[in-house]
Amino acid sequence: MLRMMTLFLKPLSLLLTCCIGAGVAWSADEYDYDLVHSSVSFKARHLDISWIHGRFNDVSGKFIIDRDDAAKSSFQLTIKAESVDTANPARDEHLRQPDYFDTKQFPTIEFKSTAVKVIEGGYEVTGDFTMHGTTKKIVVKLMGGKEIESRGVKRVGFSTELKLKRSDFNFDKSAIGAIGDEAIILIDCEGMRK
Amino acid sequence: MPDPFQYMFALAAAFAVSFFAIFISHPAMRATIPSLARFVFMAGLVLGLLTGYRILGFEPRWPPVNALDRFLLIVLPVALIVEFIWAVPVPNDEHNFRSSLSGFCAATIRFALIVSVGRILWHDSVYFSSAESNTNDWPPFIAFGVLLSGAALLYVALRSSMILAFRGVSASLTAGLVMSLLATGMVTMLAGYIKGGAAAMPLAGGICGAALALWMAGKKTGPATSHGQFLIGISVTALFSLLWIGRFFGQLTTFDVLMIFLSPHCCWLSEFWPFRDYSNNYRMVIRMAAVALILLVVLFFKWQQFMQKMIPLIAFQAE
Repeated sequence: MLRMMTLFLKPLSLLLTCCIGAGVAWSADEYDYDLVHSSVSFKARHLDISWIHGRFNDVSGKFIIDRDDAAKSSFQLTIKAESVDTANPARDEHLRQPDYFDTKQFPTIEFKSTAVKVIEGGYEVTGDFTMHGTTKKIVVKLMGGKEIESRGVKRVGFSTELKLKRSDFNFDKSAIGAIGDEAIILIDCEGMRK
Repeated sequence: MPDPFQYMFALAAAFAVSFFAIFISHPAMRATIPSLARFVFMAGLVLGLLTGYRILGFEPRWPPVNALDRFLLIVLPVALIVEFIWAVPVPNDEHNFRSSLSGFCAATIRFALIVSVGRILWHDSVYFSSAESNTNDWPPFIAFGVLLSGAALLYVALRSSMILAFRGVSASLTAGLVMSLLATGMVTMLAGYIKGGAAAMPLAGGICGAALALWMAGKKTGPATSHGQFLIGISVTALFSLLWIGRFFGQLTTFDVLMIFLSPHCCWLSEFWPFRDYSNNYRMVIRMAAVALILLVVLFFKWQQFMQKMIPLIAFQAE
Protein backbone atom coordinates (compact mmCIF):
# COMPACT_ATOMS: atom_id res chain seq x y z
CA MET A 1 0.00 0.00 0.00
CA LEU A 2 2.81 2.36 0.99
CA ARG A 3 4.64 1.50 -2.24
CA MET A 4 1.49 2.25 -4.24
CA MET A 5 1.13 5.61 -2.53
CA THR A 6 4.76 6.49 -3.21
CA LEU A 7 4.32 5.60 -6.87
CA PHE A 8 1.26 7.89 -7.02
CA LEU A 9 2.70 10.77 -5.01
CA LYS A 10 6.00 11.06 -6.85
CA PRO A 11 4.50 12.15 -10.21
CA LEU A 12 2.02 14.35 -8.39
CA SER A 13 4.74 16.23 -6.53
CA LEU A 14 6.67 16.56 -9.79
CA LEU A 15 3.59 17.99 -11.50
CA LEU A 16 3.07 20.44 -8.64
CA THR A 17 6.69 21.58 -8.77
CA CYS A 18 6.42 22.15 -12.51
CA CYS A 19 3.23 24.13 -12.08
CA ILE A 20 4.71 26.33 -9.36
CA GLY A 21 7.89 26.83 -11.40
CA ALA A 22 5.89 27.71 -14.47
CA GLY A 23 3.77 30.08 -12.43
CA VAL A 24 6.89 31.95 -11.34
CA ALA A 25 8.16 32.08 -14.90
CA TRP A 26 4.85 33.42 -16.15
CA SER A 27 4.58 36.21 -13.59
CA ALA A 28 8.26 37.32 -13.73
CA ASP A 29 9.34 38.47 -17.16
CA GLU A 30 12.99 38.75 -18.07
CA TYR A 31 14.05 41.49 -20.44
CA ASP A 32 17.38 42.23 -22.11
CA TYR A 33 18.56 45.82 -22.44
CA ASP A 34 17.93 47.03 -25.97
CA LEU A 35 21.02 49.03 -26.94
CA VAL A 36 19.45 50.29 -30.18
CA HIS A 37 16.49 52.01 -28.56
CA SER A 38 18.02 53.07 -25.26
CA SER A 39 20.47 55.64 -24.07
CA VAL A 40 22.48 56.45 -20.99
CA SER A 41 23.54 60.06 -21.11
CA PHE A 42 24.85 62.59 -18.64
CA LYS A 43 25.32 66.29 -18.26
CA ALA A 44 27.50 68.36 -15.98
CA ARG A 45 27.76 72.08 -15.35
CA HIS A 46 30.51 73.96 -17.16
CA LEU A 47 31.81 77.04 -15.32
CA ASP A 48 28.39 77.04 -13.63
CA ILE A 49 26.82 78.76 -16.62
CA SER A 50 25.93 75.95 -19.04
CA TRP A 51 25.84 72.17 -19.45
CA ILE A 52 28.21 69.73 -21.12
CA HIS A 53 26.43 66.65 -22.47
CA GLY A 54 27.78 63.19 -23.05
CA ARG A 55 26.65 59.60 -23.35
CA PHE A 56 27.87 56.04 -22.95
CA ASN A 57 27.61 54.02 -26.13
CA ASP A 58 28.21 50.51 -24.75
CA VAL A 59 25.61 49.48 -22.20
CA SER A 60 24.09 46.12 -21.32
CA GLY A 61 21.59 45.01 -18.73
CA LYS A 62 18.82 42.73 -17.63
CA PHE A 63 15.48 43.44 -15.94
CA ILE A 64 13.28 40.88 -14.27
CA ILE A 65 9.82 42.32 -13.71
CA ASP A 66 7.34 40.50 -11.54
CA ARG A 67 3.97 42.18 -12.07
CA ASP A 68 2.39 40.34 -9.12
CA ASP A 69 5.12 40.87 -6.58
CA ALA A 70 7.36 43.85 -7.34
CA ALA A 71 9.77 42.87 -4.57
CA LYS A 72 10.83 39.93 -6.73
CA SER A 73 11.77 42.23 -9.60
CA SER A 74 15.35 43.18 -10.27
CA PHE A 75 17.26 45.60 -12.45
CA GLN A 76 20.86 45.37 -13.53
CA LEU A 77 22.82 47.73 -15.75
CA THR A 78 26.45 47.60 -16.87
CA ILE A 79 28.02 50.57 -18.63
CA LYS A 80 31.42 50.32 -20.33
CA ALA A 81 33.21 53.46 -19.12
CA GLU A 82 35.52 53.33 -22.16
CA SER A 83 32.51 54.09 -24.39
CA VAL A 84 32.13 57.65 -23.06
CA ASP A 85 31.27 60.02 -25.90
CA THR A 86 31.00 63.79 -25.59
CA ALA A 87 31.24 64.49 -29.32
CA ASN A 88 34.86 65.57 -28.87
CA PRO A 89 37.48 62.78 -29.26
CA ALA A 90 40.22 64.70 -27.38
CA ARG A 91 37.92 65.27 -24.41
CA ASP A 92 36.76 61.64 -24.51
CA GLU A 93 40.39 60.46 -24.32
CA HIS A 94 40.94 62.83 -21.41
CA LEU A 95 37.84 61.52 -19.61
CA ARG A 96 39.11 57.93 -19.94
CA GLN A 97 42.31 58.79 -18.06
CA PRO A 98 42.80 58.17 -14.31
CA ASP A 99 41.97 61.80 -13.42
CA TYR A 100 38.38 61.05 -14.45
CA PHE A 101 36.86 57.61 -15.18
CA ASP A 102 40.19 55.66 -15.08
CA THR A 103 38.75 53.17 -17.54
CA LYS A 104 41.75 50.80 -17.45
CA GLN A 105 41.33 50.40 -13.70
CA PHE A 106 37.55 50.64 -13.51
CA PRO A 107 36.26 49.41 -16.87
CA THR A 108 32.59 49.30 -15.91
CA ILE A 109 29.96 51.39 -14.13
CA GLU A 110 27.34 49.10 -12.62
CA PHE A 111 23.97 49.24 -10.99
CA LYS A 112 22.41 46.25 -9.25
CA SER A 113 19.06 46.56 -7.55
CA THR A 114 18.59 45.30 -4.02
CA ALA A 115 14.93 46.26 -3.44
CA VAL A 116 12.06 47.21 -5.71
CA LYS A 117 8.67 48.62 -4.83
CA VAL A 118 5.77 49.91 -6.88
CA ILE A 119 5.06 53.63 -6.95
CA GLU A 120 2.57 55.55 -9.01
CA GLY A 121 3.69 55.41 -12.64
CA GLY A 122 6.62 53.07 -12.12
CA TYR A 123 8.96 51.55 -9.58
CA GLU A 124 11.17 52.83 -6.83
CA VAL A 125 14.40 50.88 -7.09
CA THR A 126 17.05 50.82 -4.38
CA GLY A 127 20.41 49.43 -5.44
CA ASP A 128 24.19 49.50 -5.40
CA PHE A 129 25.75 51.90 -7.84
CA THR A 130 29.44 51.22 -8.48
CA MET A 131 31.54 53.81 -10.25
CA HIS A 132 35.27 54.56 -10.09
CA GLY A 133 35.80 51.72 -7.61
CA THR A 134 33.29 53.08 -5.10
CA THR A 135 29.90 51.54 -4.37
CA LYS A 136 27.06 53.65 -2.97
CA LYS A 137 23.48 52.76 -2.26
CA ILE A 138 21.13 54.90 -4.35
CA VAL A 139 17.40 55.12 -4.90
CA VAL A 140 16.05 55.73 -8.41
CA LYS A 141 12.52 56.26 -9.58
CA LEU A 142 12.02 54.26 -12.75
CA MET A 143 9.04 55.74 -14.49
CA GLY A 144 7.19 53.68 -17.06
CA GLY A 145 6.98 49.92 -17.19
CA LYS A 146 4.23 49.60 -19.76
CA GLU A 147 4.66 46.51 -21.93
CA ILE A 148 3.78 46.42 -25.61
CA GLU A 149 4.33 43.84 -28.34
CA SER A 150 5.91 44.93 -31.61
CA ARG A 151 6.78 42.50 -34.42
CA GLY A 152 6.71 39.53 -32.11
CA VAL A 153 8.98 41.14 -29.53
CA LYS A 154 7.63 42.25 -26.17
CA ARG A 155 9.08 45.54 -25.03
CA VAL A 156 9.03 47.49 -21.81
CA GLY A 157 10.35 51.01 -21.35
CA PHE A 158 11.63 53.01 -18.39
CA SER A 159 13.19 56.37 -17.87
CA THR A 160 14.88 57.96 -14.91
CA GLU A 161 17.12 60.81 -13.93
CA LEU A 162 19.56 60.76 -11.07
CA LYS A 163 21.99 63.23 -9.60
CA LEU A 164 25.42 62.10 -8.44
CA LYS A 165 28.35 63.93 -6.99
CA ARG A 166 31.69 62.95 -8.48
CA SER A 167 33.39 63.65 -5.16
CA ASP A 168 31.23 60.91 -3.56
CA PHE A 169 32.82 58.41 -5.93
CA ASN A 170 36.41 59.41 -5.23
CA PHE A 171 37.04 61.29 -8.41
CA ASP A 172 40.15 63.41 -8.12
CA LYS A 173 39.22 66.62 -6.32
CA SER A 174 41.68 68.67 -8.38
CA ALA A 175 39.85 67.56 -11.53
CA ILE A 176 36.63 69.10 -10.20
CA GLY A 177 37.03 72.67 -11.34
CA ALA A 178 35.55 74.09 -14.49
CA ILE A 179 33.33 71.02 -14.72
CA GLY A 180 30.94 70.87 -11.77
CA ASP A 181 31.02 68.21 -9.09
CA GLU A 182 27.42 67.21 -9.69
CA ALA A 183 26.48 65.17 -12.74
CA ILE A 184 22.97 64.37 -13.88
CA ILE A 185 22.56 60.93 -15.42
CA LEU A 186 19.61 60.38 -17.72
CA ILE A 187 18.60 56.81 -18.49
CA ASP A 188 15.99 56.01 -21.09
CA CYS A 189 15.91 52.32 -21.74
CA GLU A 190 13.91 49.63 -23.38
CA GLY A 191 13.98 46.00 -22.42
CA MET A 192 12.94 43.30 -24.85
CA ARG A 193 11.94 39.66 -24.71
CA LYS A 194 10.54 37.20 -27.21
CA MET B 1 42.45 72.25 -12.99
CA PRO B 2 46.25 71.85 -13.25
CA ASP B 3 48.11 74.33 -11.08
CA PRO B 4 51.76 74.71 -12.20
CA PHE B 5 52.57 76.85 -9.15
CA GLN B 6 51.38 74.13 -6.81
CA TYR B 7 53.57 71.56 -8.59
CA MET B 8 56.57 73.87 -8.43
CA PHE B 9 55.88 74.54 -4.76
CA ALA B 10 55.59 70.81 -4.00
CA LEU B 11 58.84 70.17 -5.86
CA ALA B 12 60.65 73.01 -4.06
CA ALA B 13 59.28 71.98 -0.65
CA ALA B 14 60.30 68.34 -1.12
CA PHE B 15 63.74 69.52 -2.21
CA ALA B 16 64.17 71.93 0.72
CA VAL B 17 62.90 69.53 3.41
CA SER B 18 65.00 66.59 2.16
CA PHE B 19 68.05 68.80 1.80
CA PHE B 20 67.86 70.41 5.24
CA ALA B 21 66.76 67.24 7.06
CA ILE B 22 69.72 65.30 5.68
CA PHE B 23 72.23 68.13 5.81
CA ILE B 24 71.42 69.06 9.41
CA SER B 25 71.57 65.44 10.53
CA HIS B 26 74.67 64.53 8.52
CA PRO B 27 76.84 64.17 11.64
CA ALA B 28 74.57 61.25 12.55
CA MET B 29 75.32 59.77 9.13
CA ARG B 30 78.93 59.50 10.20
CA ALA B 31 77.77 57.23 12.97
CA THR B 32 79.69 54.04 13.47
CA ILE B 33 76.41 52.13 13.25
CA PRO B 34 75.78 51.96 9.48
CA SER B 35 72.09 51.16 9.83
CA LEU B 36 71.55 54.34 11.90
CA ALA B 37 73.27 56.41 9.22
CA ARG B 38 71.12 54.83 6.54
CA PHE B 39 67.99 55.33 8.62
CA VAL B 40 68.72 59.04 9.10
CA PHE B 41 69.29 59.43 5.39
CA MET B 42 66.11 57.56 4.47
CA ALA B 43 64.06 59.50 7.05
CA GLY B 44 65.23 62.79 5.53
CA LEU B 45 64.15 61.71 2.08
CA VAL B 46 60.79 60.35 3.31
CA LEU B 47 60.14 63.63 5.15
CA GLY B 48 60.73 65.56 1.93
CA LEU B 49 58.44 63.26 -0.06
CA LEU B 50 55.67 63.46 2.53
CA THR B 51 55.86 67.27 2.50
CA GLY B 52 55.65 67.37 -1.29
CA TYR B 53 52.71 64.98 -1.49
CA ARG B 54 50.93 66.81 1.33
CA ILE B 55 51.19 70.08 -0.60
CA LEU B 56 49.76 68.37 -3.67
CA GLY B 57 46.85 67.15 -1.55
CA PHE B 58 47.51 63.48 -2.26
CA GLU B 59 45.46 61.25 0.03
CA PRO B 60 45.99 57.67 -1.11
CA ARG B 61 43.34 55.27 0.18
CA TRP B 62 43.95 51.96 1.91
CA PRO B 63 43.35 49.43 0.49
CA PRO B 64 44.63 51.13 -2.63
CA VAL B 65 42.18 51.08 -5.53
CA ASN B 66 44.21 52.56 -8.34
CA ALA B 67 47.74 52.29 -9.70
CA LEU B 68 48.94 55.59 -8.24
CA ASP B 69 47.74 54.65 -4.74
CA ARG B 70 49.47 51.26 -5.07
CA PHE B 71 52.66 53.04 -6.13
CA LEU B 72 52.56 55.43 -3.15
CA LEU B 73 51.42 52.89 -0.54
CA ILE B 74 53.14 49.68 -1.65
CA VAL B 75 55.84 50.05 -4.30
CA LEU B 76 57.56 53.18 -2.98
CA PRO B 77 57.69 52.09 0.72
CA VAL B 78 58.87 48.60 -0.23
CA ALA B 79 61.49 50.10 -2.56
CA LEU B 80 62.67 52.34 0.30
CA ILE B 81 62.98 49.35 2.63
CA VAL B 82 64.71 47.23 0.00
CA GLU B 83 67.22 49.94 -0.80
CA PHE B 84 67.64 50.60 2.91
CA ILE B 85 68.72 46.98 3.41
CA TRP B 86 70.58 46.79 0.10
CA ALA B 87 72.76 49.87 0.51
CA VAL B 88 75.26 48.26 2.87
CA PRO B 89 78.14 50.67 3.21
CA VAL B 90 80.98 48.13 2.92
CA PRO B 91 81.39 47.77 -0.83
CA ASN B 92 85.19 47.37 -0.61
CA ASP B 93 84.94 43.70 0.26
CA GLU B 94 82.42 42.54 -2.29
CA HIS B 95 82.73 38.82 -1.47
CA ASN B 96 81.94 39.46 2.16
CA PHE B 97 79.06 41.73 1.16
CA ARG B 98 77.53 39.17 -1.15
CA SER B 99 77.79 36.40 1.35
CA SER B 100 76.31 38.42 4.17
CA LEU B 101 72.80 37.58 5.33
CA SER B 102 71.49 41.13 4.83
CA GLY B 103 72.92 41.16 1.33
CA PHE B 104 71.18 37.88 0.52
CA CYS B 105 67.87 39.08 2.01
CA ALA B 106 68.07 42.40 0.20
CA ALA B 107 68.89 40.70 -3.10
CA THR B 108 65.94 38.34 -2.68
CA ILE B 109 63.48 41.11 -1.75
CA ARG B 110 64.83 43.35 -4.47
CA PHE B 111 64.41 40.60 -7.05
CA ALA B 112 60.88 39.96 -5.80
CA LEU B 113 60.13 43.69 -6.10
CA ILE B 114 61.57 43.86 -9.62
CA VAL B 115 59.42 40.93 -10.69
CA SER B 116 56.25 42.16 -9.00
CA VAL B 117 56.22 45.96 -9.57
CA GLY B 118 54.32 45.71 -12.85
CA ARG B 119 51.88 43.15 -11.44
CA ILE B 120 51.21 45.27 -8.33
CA LEU B 121 50.51 48.36 -10.43
CA TRP B 122 48.24 46.38 -12.77
CA HIS B 123 46.26 44.78 -9.97
CA ASP B 124 42.53 44.42 -10.72
CA SER B 125 42.81 46.46 -13.92
CA VAL B 126 41.83 45.46 -17.45
CA TYR B 127 45.33 44.02 -17.87
CA PHE B 128 45.21 41.62 -14.97
CA SER B 129 41.84 41.31 -13.28
CA SER B 130 40.44 38.43 -11.30
CA ALA B 131 38.86 35.54 -13.20
CA GLU B 132 35.29 36.28 -12.09
CA SER B 133 35.29 39.91 -13.26
CA ASN B 134 36.36 38.78 -16.76
CA THR B 135 37.27 42.24 -17.99
CA ASN B 136 40.78 41.48 -19.21
CA ASP B 137 41.81 43.37 -22.33
CA TRP B 138 44.61 40.92 -23.07
CA PRO B 139 44.94 37.14 -23.02
CA PRO B 140 47.12 35.96 -20.09
CA PHE B 141 50.16 35.04 -22.20
CA ILE B 142 50.42 38.62 -23.56
CA ALA B 143 50.00 40.08 -20.07
CA PHE B 144 52.73 37.76 -18.72
CA GLY B 145 54.97 38.63 -21.67
CA VAL B 146 54.63 42.36 -20.99
CA LEU B 147 55.19 41.86 -17.25
CA LEU B 148 58.30 39.78 -17.93
CA SER B 149 59.66 42.35 -20.37
CA GLY B 150 59.06 45.12 -17.83
CA ALA B 151 60.80 43.16 -15.07
CA ALA B 152 63.77 42.43 -17.36
CA LEU B 153 64.01 46.12 -18.29
CA LEU B 154 63.93 47.20 -14.65
CA TYR B 155 66.57 44.59 -13.70
CA VAL B 156 68.90 45.68 -16.51
CA ALA B 157 68.40 49.36 -15.62
CA LEU B 158 69.15 48.77 -11.93
CA ARG B 159 72.19 46.64 -12.76
CA SER B 160 73.47 49.19 -15.28
CA SER B 161 72.94 52.01 -12.76
CA MET B 162 74.83 50.18 -10.02
CA ILE B 163 77.76 49.46 -12.34
CA LEU B 164 77.84 53.14 -13.31
CA ALA B 165 77.72 54.11 -9.61
CA PHE B 166 80.72 51.87 -8.86
CA ARG B 167 82.56 53.49 -11.78
CA GLY B 168 82.20 56.86 -10.03
CA VAL B 169 79.41 58.25 -12.22
CA SER B 170 76.79 58.30 -9.44
CA ALA B 171 76.44 62.12 -9.26
CA SER B 172 75.76 62.44 -13.00
CA LEU B 173 73.49 59.40 -12.93
CA THR B 174 71.44 60.79 -10.03
CA ALA B 175 71.15 64.13 -11.84
CA GLY B 176 70.06 62.26 -14.97
CA LEU B 177 67.45 60.32 -13.00
CA VAL B 178 66.09 63.53 -11.44
CA MET B 179 65.85 65.08 -14.92
CA SER B 180 64.06 61.96 -16.16
CA LEU B 181 61.60 62.10 -13.25
CA LEU B 182 60.85 65.74 -14.06
CA ALA B 183 60.40 64.88 -17.74
CA THR B 184 58.11 61.98 -16.75
CA GLY B 185 55.94 64.39 -14.76
CA MET B 186 55.71 66.91 -17.56
CA VAL B 187 55.13 64.37 -20.33
CA THR B 188 52.46 62.52 -18.34
CA MET B 189 50.64 65.81 -17.71
CA LEU B 190 50.92 66.84 -21.35
CA ALA B 191 49.40 63.47 -22.27
CA GLY B 192 46.39 64.35 -20.09
CA TYR B 193 47.02 62.52 -16.80
CA ILE B 194 47.52 65.48 -14.45
CA LYS B 195 47.73 63.68 -11.10
CA GLY B 196 50.06 60.99 -12.47
CA GLY B 197 52.41 63.70 -13.70
CA ALA B 198 52.19 65.65 -10.46
CA ALA B 199 53.26 62.53 -8.53
CA ALA B 200 56.71 62.78 -10.11
CA MET B 201 57.37 66.28 -8.77
CA PRO B 202 57.96 65.56 -5.05
CA LEU B 203 60.09 62.57 -6.05
CA ALA B 204 62.30 64.70 -8.30
CA GLY B 205 62.55 67.42 -5.62
CA GLY B 206 63.17 65.02 -2.72
CA ILE B 207 65.82 62.98 -4.52
CA CYS B 208 67.54 66.13 -5.79
CA GLY B 209 67.58 67.63 -2.28
CA ALA B 210 68.89 64.41 -0.74
CA ALA B 211 71.60 64.08 -3.40
CA LEU B 212 72.71 67.68 -2.92
CA ALA B 213 72.81 67.31 0.86
CA LEU B 214 74.77 64.10 0.44
CA TRP B 215 77.21 65.77 -1.90
CA MET B 216 77.72 68.74 0.44
CA ALA B 217 78.01 66.49 3.49
CA GLY B 218 80.30 64.19 1.51
CA LYS B 219 82.68 67.11 0.97
CA LYS B 220 83.25 67.13 4.71
CA THR B 221 82.77 63.51 5.59
CA GLY B 222 84.13 61.70 2.55
CA PRO B 223 82.22 59.88 -0.14
CA ALA B 224 79.09 58.17 1.14
CA THR B 225 78.75 55.63 -1.66
CA SER B 226 76.07 53.52 -0.01
CA HIS B 227 73.70 56.51 0.29
CA GLY B 228 74.28 57.30 -3.37
CA GLN B 229 73.35 53.71 -4.29
CA PHE B 230 70.25 54.05 -2.13
CA LEU B 231 69.15 57.15 -4.04
CA ILE B 232 69.85 55.57 -7.43
CA GLY B 233 67.90 52.41 -6.52
CA ILE B 234 64.88 54.43 -5.35
CA SER B 235 65.03 56.73 -8.38
CA VAL B 236 65.17 53.90 -10.93
CA THR B 237 62.28 51.99 -9.29
CA ALA B 238 60.16 55.15 -8.95
CA LEU B 239 60.90 56.21 -12.53
CA PHE B 240 59.95 52.76 -13.80
CA SER B 241 56.69 52.74 -11.80
CA LEU B 242 55.55 56.20 -12.88
CA LEU B 243 56.29 55.46 -16.52
CA TRP B 244 54.49 52.10 -16.23
CA ILE B 245 51.43 53.91 -14.84
CA GLY B 246 51.65 56.58 -17.54
CA ARG B 247 51.92 53.95 -20.26
CA PHE B 248 49.19 51.58 -19.14
CA PHE B 249 46.74 53.90 -17.39
CA GLY B 250 47.53 57.22 -19.08
CA GLN B 251 48.27 58.03 -22.70
CA LEU B 252 52.07 57.72 -22.83
CA THR B 253 53.38 55.77 -25.81
CA THR B 254 55.92 52.94 -25.57
CA PHE B 255 58.37 55.22 -27.41
CA ASP B 256 58.00 58.01 -24.80
CA VAL B 257 58.41 55.55 -21.96
CA LEU B 258 61.51 53.80 -23.33
CA MET B 259 63.23 57.05 -24.28
CA ILE B 260 62.68 58.58 -20.83
CA PHE B 261 63.50 55.41 -18.89
CA LEU B 262 66.71 54.69 -20.78
CA SER B 263 67.91 58.31 -21.06
CA PRO B 264 69.89 58.31 -17.74
CA HIS B 265 71.91 55.41 -19.12
CA CYS B 266 73.41 57.78 -21.67
CA CYS B 267 75.87 58.36 -18.84
CA TRP B 268 77.63 55.30 -20.27
CA LEU B 269 78.66 57.50 -23.20
CA SER B 270 81.52 59.01 -21.21
CA GLU B 271 82.89 55.56 -20.41
CA PHE B 272 83.76 54.78 -24.00
CA TRP B 273 86.21 56.08 -26.55
CA PRO B 274 86.75 58.93 -27.41
CA PHE B 275 85.11 60.53 -24.34
CA ARG B 276 86.75 58.33 -21.69
CA ASP B 277 90.06 60.14 -22.22
CA TYR B 278 88.55 63.58 -21.57
CA SER B 279 88.74 65.40 -18.23
CA ASN B 280 86.18 64.56 -15.54
CA ASN B 281 84.34 67.89 -15.87
CA TYR B 282 84.11 67.59 -19.63
CA ARG B 283 82.84 64.02 -19.33
CA MET B 284 80.18 65.15 -16.88
CA VAL B 285 79.01 67.83 -19.33
CA ILE B 286 78.79 65.21 -22.09
CA ARG B 287 76.73 62.90 -19.87
CA MET B 288 74.29 65.62 -18.85
CA ALA B 289 73.98 66.97 -22.40
CA ALA B 290 73.20 63.48 -23.76
CA VAL B 291 70.46 62.86 -21.15
CA ALA B 292 68.99 66.35 -21.59
CA LEU B 293 68.96 66.07 -25.38
CA ILE B 294 66.90 62.87 -25.35
CA LEU B 295 64.46 64.26 -22.78
CA LEU B 296 64.06 67.50 -24.71
CA VAL B 297 63.27 65.59 -27.90
CA VAL B 298 60.55 63.59 -26.10
CA LEU B 299 59.16 66.76 -24.48
CA PHE B 300 59.17 68.61 -27.78
CA PHE B 301 57.11 65.92 -29.53
CA LYS B 302 54.72 65.64 -26.60
CA TRP B 303 54.29 69.40 -26.50
CA GLN B 304 53.43 69.41 -30.20
CA GLN B 305 50.82 66.68 -29.65
CA PHE B 306 49.43 68.63 -26.70
CA MET B 307 49.11 71.80 -28.81
CA GLN B 308 47.30 69.87 -31.54
CA LYS B 309 44.95 67.82 -29.39
CA MET B 310 44.42 69.52 -26.05
CA ILE B 311 44.78 73.25 -26.69
CA PRO B 312 41.58 73.45 -28.78
CA LEU B 313 39.79 71.73 -25.92
CA ILE B 314 41.19 74.09 -23.28
CA ALA B 315 40.55 77.13 -25.49
CA PHE B 316 36.98 75.93 -25.96
CA GLN B 317 36.62 75.47 -22.23
CA ALA B 318 37.97 78.94 -21.53
CA GLU B 319 35.49 80.60 -23.85
